Amino acid sequence: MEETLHLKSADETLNLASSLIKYLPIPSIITLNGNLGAGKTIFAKGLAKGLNIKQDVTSPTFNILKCYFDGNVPFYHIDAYRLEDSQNKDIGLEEVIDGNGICVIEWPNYIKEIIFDDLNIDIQIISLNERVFTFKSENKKYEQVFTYLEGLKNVL
Amino acid sequence: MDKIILAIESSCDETSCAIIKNDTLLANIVSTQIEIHKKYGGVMPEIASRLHVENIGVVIKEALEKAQISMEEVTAIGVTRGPGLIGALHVGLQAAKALSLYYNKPLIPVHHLAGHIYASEFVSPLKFPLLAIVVSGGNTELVIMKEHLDFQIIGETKDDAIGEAFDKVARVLGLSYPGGVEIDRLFKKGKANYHLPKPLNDKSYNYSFSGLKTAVINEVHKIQQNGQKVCIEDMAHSFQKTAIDLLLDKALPAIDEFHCQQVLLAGGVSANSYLRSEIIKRTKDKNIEVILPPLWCTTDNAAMIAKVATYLYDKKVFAPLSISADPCWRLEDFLNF
Amino acid sequence: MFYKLLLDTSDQYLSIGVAEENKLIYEKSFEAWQRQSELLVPEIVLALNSLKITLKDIKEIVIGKGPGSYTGVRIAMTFAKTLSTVTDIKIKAISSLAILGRADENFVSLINARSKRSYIAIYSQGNCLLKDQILPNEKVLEIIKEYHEKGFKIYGNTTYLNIPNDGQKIIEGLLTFANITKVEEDILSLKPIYLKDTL
Repeated sequence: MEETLHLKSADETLNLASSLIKYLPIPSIITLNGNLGAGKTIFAKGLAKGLNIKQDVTSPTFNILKCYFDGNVPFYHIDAYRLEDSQNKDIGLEEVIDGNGICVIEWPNYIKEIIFDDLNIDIQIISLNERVFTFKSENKKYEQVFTYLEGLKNVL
Repeated sequence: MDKIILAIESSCDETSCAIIKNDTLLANIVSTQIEIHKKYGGVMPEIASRLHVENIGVVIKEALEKAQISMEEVTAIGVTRGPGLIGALHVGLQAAKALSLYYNKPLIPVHHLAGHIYASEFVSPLKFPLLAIVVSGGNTELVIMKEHLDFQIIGETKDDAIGEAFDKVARVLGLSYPGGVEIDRLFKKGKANYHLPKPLNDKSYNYSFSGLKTAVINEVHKIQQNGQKVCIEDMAHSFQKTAIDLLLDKALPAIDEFHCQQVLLAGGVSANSYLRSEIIKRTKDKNIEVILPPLWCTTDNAAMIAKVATYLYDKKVFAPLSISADPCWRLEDFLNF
Repeated sequence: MFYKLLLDTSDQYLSIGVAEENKLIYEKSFEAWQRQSELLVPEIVLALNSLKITLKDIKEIVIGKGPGSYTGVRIAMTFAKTLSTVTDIKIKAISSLAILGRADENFVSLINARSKRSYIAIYSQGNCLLKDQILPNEKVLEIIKEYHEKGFKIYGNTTYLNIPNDGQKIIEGLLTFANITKVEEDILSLKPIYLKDTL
């Protein structure tokens, strides 16, 4: 399954993420690929908003994992950026990835050994504010997401 | 009666054990700084800073030996309960629980950021009210303390911590990790030739460094698209100046608003040379004491955890042995566990 | 009295046993996924209290050293290692796959390694026939079939493979394998076995 969307602002990114919550199964694993500044954390903020999480979602780059339990379901935000050169990735992320809520992972390539059944989102920077979002997954559980995205395309 | 606190810190990259007797720091052993390769004659495997299970035994043993203290003499055991990396926190916590159970000593859960703030007590006693500018790898918070163990967060980052912004900008500029150190080094060679916006430049005490990071990225792309080269030293300088100026622009008015007697820096970014010189410069005309933590205090270590634990001990803040780690523990909840 | 504390937190269970010389006098094993850090020490307290002994009566701690879950494997090991560093308590660290069965049995041992793979090993009368490793599940199922036909037991939680199993005997495993395992010489270097590092 694959869909591509063209977004024109950070707000559109936020709103898109927020609207996806309705269609995401529990548990869900979402992997975000994109360079610095692409809007990965903004997307994560959107997901949190959709889950009614009031706390600010801040970058987990340093802590690698941040958890938010005050929303509809647990929300786990992972940033594997600092694990790039790490030989030893023994920090217990698997249990979170295999968890009970929505888990979003930035820089997933650095921990690809422990990720499976994910909805992959690639964000390309086109210009200052414009992004191209490409959604991909091989797992049928995300079907509704793709149906929704297809519908969106016809509207945008 | 001597009060001897043994503390363990393993919230992130360092595994550390420290011992404070009354007010004296007797030992502060940090895993990345041990010269144990020599001592153990090559039996020790190479110590990577994240291998907490490997390091935990060594740092505890070394600390006890250096301090010439036996576990029986220890009064209580402090440990970082959070925030930090969940897997790393678990190691420190299990070690502390093991010691607490075997030797029947109270277990004191300590907040990592409280540790960074209290690290300044190794320089000078805290005076209240004070403003703590907490700028560690994963946090940017402005904290007002009106008395010991009283933390009021008046502002914090809404996205990236300032340390993260440094690391990410360094990456964009092709510099090595950790980026903060590199940028600070190049800062001295460069000039403020690039104009960068100050994000969230409002009257609140909150910050947004993600926008600044993005501004650097956009500026770099723009320059490259015009077929020109980015002057790395100047960009590093412009970024550091903008980030630190913004940090202080928002933080320093709190001194007047809360009638602070002292302002201190806490966390890894307090090692930044421009921050250290600017804060002194900009508070010269205020009647206020500035505490700059010594460099050994700015990185994670157990000494600062032991320091907080000595205060918590007096208040009998003890944890049950069923306590778990909290990677997202908020500073204002430091008594909730 | 020579008391031994038997601990395993390598995967989904928290298993605690106490042995007096070679006799098991306490055992408790229950599902505690992601709660081992919280529960290990309180459960140890329960065990010791019920026997009216203290940690100071324990001379040896026997632990499962992995493979398993990253977090789980380190919990028991950190507890044991810390005590062994500052006291005279000795440690015996045994493969978490080995201890799923007894040292006088023949069995194939399995732990879910996720991503359609398993941690697998084969033990016969305490000897390792297939050393601890990760294999894709298709290969694992072939091995299980082959050894099941030879009369080997299948130990481990195999729900994820949709096949039946003969349970697991973690505490008995710790006890019996301890008898044929040497005490750890170099406590400071002791570390968990993750296996995934080698991929």
